[in-house]
Amino acid sequence: MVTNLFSSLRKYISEPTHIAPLAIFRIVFGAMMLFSTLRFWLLGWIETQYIEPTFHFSYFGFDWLPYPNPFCIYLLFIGLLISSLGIFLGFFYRLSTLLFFITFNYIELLDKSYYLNHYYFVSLISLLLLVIPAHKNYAFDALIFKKIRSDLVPKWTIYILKFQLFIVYFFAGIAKINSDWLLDAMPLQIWLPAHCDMPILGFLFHYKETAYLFSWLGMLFDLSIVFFMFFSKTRIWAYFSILIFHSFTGYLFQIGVFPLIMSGCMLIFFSDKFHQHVIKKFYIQTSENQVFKPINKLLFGCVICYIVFQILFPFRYVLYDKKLFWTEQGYRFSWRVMLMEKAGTANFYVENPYNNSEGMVDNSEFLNIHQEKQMAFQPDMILQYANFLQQKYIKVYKKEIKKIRAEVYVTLNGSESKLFFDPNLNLLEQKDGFEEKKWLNDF
Amino acid sequence: MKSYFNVVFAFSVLLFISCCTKKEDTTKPEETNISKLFVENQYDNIIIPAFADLKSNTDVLAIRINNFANNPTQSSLDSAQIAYENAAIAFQYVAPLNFGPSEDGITGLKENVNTFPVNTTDIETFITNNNFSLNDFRRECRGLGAIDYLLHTITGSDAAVLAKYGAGSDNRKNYLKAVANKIKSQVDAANDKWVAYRTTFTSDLSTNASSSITKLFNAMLIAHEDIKNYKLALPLGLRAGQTSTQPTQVEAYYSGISMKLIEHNIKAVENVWQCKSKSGTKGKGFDEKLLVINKKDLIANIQNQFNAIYSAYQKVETGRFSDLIANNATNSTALLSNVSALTRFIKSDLSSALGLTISYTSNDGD
Repeated sequence: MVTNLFSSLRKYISEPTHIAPLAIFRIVFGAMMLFSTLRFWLLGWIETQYIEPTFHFSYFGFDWLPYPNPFCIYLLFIGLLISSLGIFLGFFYRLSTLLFFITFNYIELLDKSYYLNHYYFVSLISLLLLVIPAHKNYAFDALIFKKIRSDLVPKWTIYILKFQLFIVYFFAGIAKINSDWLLDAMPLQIWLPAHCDMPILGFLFHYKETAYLFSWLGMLFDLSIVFFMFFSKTRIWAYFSILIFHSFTGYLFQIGVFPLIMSGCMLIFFSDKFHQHVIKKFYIQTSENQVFKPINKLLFGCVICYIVFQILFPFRYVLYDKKLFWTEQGYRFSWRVMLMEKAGTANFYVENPYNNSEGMVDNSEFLNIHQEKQMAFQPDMILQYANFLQQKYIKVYKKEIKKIRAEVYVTLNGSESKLFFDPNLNLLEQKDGFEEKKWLNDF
Repeated sequence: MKSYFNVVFAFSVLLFISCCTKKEDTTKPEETNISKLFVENQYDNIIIPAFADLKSNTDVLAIRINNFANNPTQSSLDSAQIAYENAAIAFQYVAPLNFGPSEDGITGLKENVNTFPVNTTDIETFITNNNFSLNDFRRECRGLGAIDYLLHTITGSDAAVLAKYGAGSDNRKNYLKAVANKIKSQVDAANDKWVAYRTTFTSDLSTNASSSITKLFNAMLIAHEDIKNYKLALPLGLRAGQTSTQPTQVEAYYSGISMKLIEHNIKAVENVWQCKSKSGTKGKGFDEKLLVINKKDLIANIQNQFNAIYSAYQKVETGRFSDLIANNATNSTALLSNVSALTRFIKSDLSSALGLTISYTSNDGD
C-alpha cells in the first residue's frame, strides 16, 4: 500500500504545469541575490567580516575547509555576482546554479558567527535550484539552446519551493509559541521602546500592550500566512499583509535583505495565470516541443528525504534537557527568527606556563565586534575560541598551555546576567559536539 | 479573506482591551521625554563642559609651554608642569566621548592627543633632526604623552629637565612648542565641532547603531575597557602573553600621575553613566533610562560596583604607579579586578536592557 501511495504521489507531482511561476521565481531570486551581494560588498563587509579578523568560527565538522586568502575571498564574491546574474538571466543556468551553490555556501561555511536564518534559506534554495529546471523558458538558455525550450515543468519543481517557504514561516511561528514570547512579550518589550521615534506609530511602543499585541500577531501571522497564500480567495490580501509585515519589521529591526527576500519569494504562490500574464507582458516565447521529464526514482527519494529532514531537524532541540535559549543546542537551522535578546561578556584567562599566574585576553585583538558579541553567549564558539587562544599563546610563550578558563556572564531577555559556567572550568578539556553540554550552568 | 481579517482584527481588539484593563505598571509615555532629555542633558551637562574645560586647559598649556621654551626657568617649568597636569586630567573627561565630532576622519581625539606610551627614541631622533612639522601619523611621538616626557624625568628632578633646555637646545624647544600647539589646534577643532553639533546630537532619539545614545554608550564602554586593558592590566603584566610586568607602559610614566589620571577617568565614565556634570549637576543619564523600564536592580549593581572601584582605589598606595608595579602590586591588582567586574553590567546587561547595539557599523541580524 505504501508503495502504491508513493507511486501515485510520484505520478501526481510529475504532472505538467506551466513554467511561468518558476521562471519569475528564478528572475526575482537572481535579481535579489545580485542586489544583496552588491550591498554586502559596498558596505565594506567583505573586508570587515571576512578579511580583517584573525580568527573565524568554522562550523562543526567543517574545520578542514581551507580559509581563503583575501584575493580568493574576492574571487568567491565575484563568482557569486556572476552566478546571480546567470540565474537572473537564465544564462548557462545549470553552470550558474552550480557556481552559486558552491560560492554562496563556501562563504557561509567560513564563519558561523555571521549565521542568519535567511542565509540558511538562500543555501537551501541554492541546493533546490540545482535540480529545478527553471531555465526552460523565459531564459537566455531557451533562446540559445532551442532544444531545451518548454512551457511545461513537472509540478514538484514548484511545490518544493512552496514547501520550503511554508517551512520557513510555519516553523518561525511554532518557535514563537513559548512563554517568553507570548506571556512576557519578550524580547519585543525590550526592542519596541527603542523605536519610539518612529513616525505615527512610535508613541505606541512605550506601552507594554503594544509588545503583547505584536508578539501575538507575529505568531499568528507566521503560522497562518502560507495557508492564506494557498487559497486564491485570500491570496491578494495575504500578500498585502506580507508586504506590510516585512516592511514594518524591516523598518524596525536591523535585518538587512530578509524582508526583501521573503516578499520576493512568496510571489510563487500566485497562480499560473497571474505569472503567465505578468511574464508575457515583457516577453513572449512559445515553444513547439513541450518536453518535460517526470521525476526519476532517485530524485524522488532525495526529495522525500529532504522534506522529512526539513520537518524533523528544527525539533532536534527536544533531545536536550537544558533550556534551548540558554544553551542554543539545536537553535540554528530551525527558523528561530528574532526570538530573543541575548548578550554576554566573556573574559578569557590564559595560564602563564612559566609561573602560576594567568593573563587576561583582550578579545578585540582577535575578533571583530560582531564576532565577539556572538561568541560571548554561544558555548560552541566559546570552546572554539579557547582552542584558538591555546594555539595562539603557545606561539607567544613558546611552551605548552594546559589551561584556559573564562568568566562568562550572559543575560537573556532582560534577566540579570548570570555565570554561564564555572569560571574555573578548564575549557581545553571540554569537547564540542552534539552531546549535551553538561558543563553549562542551568538558566 | 474577510474571515481572516475578522479573526485577526477581533483578536487584536480583544487582546488590546484585555491588556488595557490591567494597567498596573504601564510604562509611561514619559519615555519620549526622557529620550529627549537624555541626549540634551548629556550634551549640556557632560559633553560641552568637558570639551570647554579641555580647551581652556590646552590653551593655557600651549601658552605656558611657549613661555617655558622662550625662557626656561624653574618657575616657568613649574607652571608648564601644572598646566600639563591640568590638561591631562581634563582629557580624562573627554575619553568616554571619543566619537562623532571627536573624530577627524582618520581617527579620534584620544588617539591624536593621548597615545601612550610614547616612543622616546623616535622623539629624540625628531629633535636631533630638528624635524618638528608633525606632518605624519606618528602619534606615539606627540600629544600629552610627549609633553609628559619632555617636561619631566623619571627621577622627578626638575634640574635634570632644565639642563636639557640650556644653550643649544633650540631643536628640543621647537619640538616641545610644536607638540603643545598641535594639541591645542586639535582640541580646538574638536571643541568647535562639538559646539556646532547640538541639533544633530539631540535630535536623534533612536537606538539604531548610528544613533546618539548608541554612540555615547559604545564610547563609554570603550573608555572603560581602555582603563582595564591598557591603563591597568598591561603595565601590571596581567594581559595574556605577557611574561613580566611592564611598568614603563603606564600612562604619564614620567610625571608619575598615572593613578590620579585613572581615578579621573573612572569618574568620567561614571559621570556619563549618571549624566552628572563635574560640578555635580545631575541630568537624565543611563540610570534614569533604566529607571523608566523599572530596572532598579541593575542600577544598584552598577552603582555598587562603581563604589567598590573607589574603595579599591583608596587602598592603592600613593606614589608612582610604575614603582608600585615593581614593588607591591596587590592593591592595584585588586583595583583591576574591581574595574573588570563592572564590564558585564555595562557590556551585556545595560546594552541588552536598553536594546543598544554594541558596534557602530553593525552586521545584519535576524
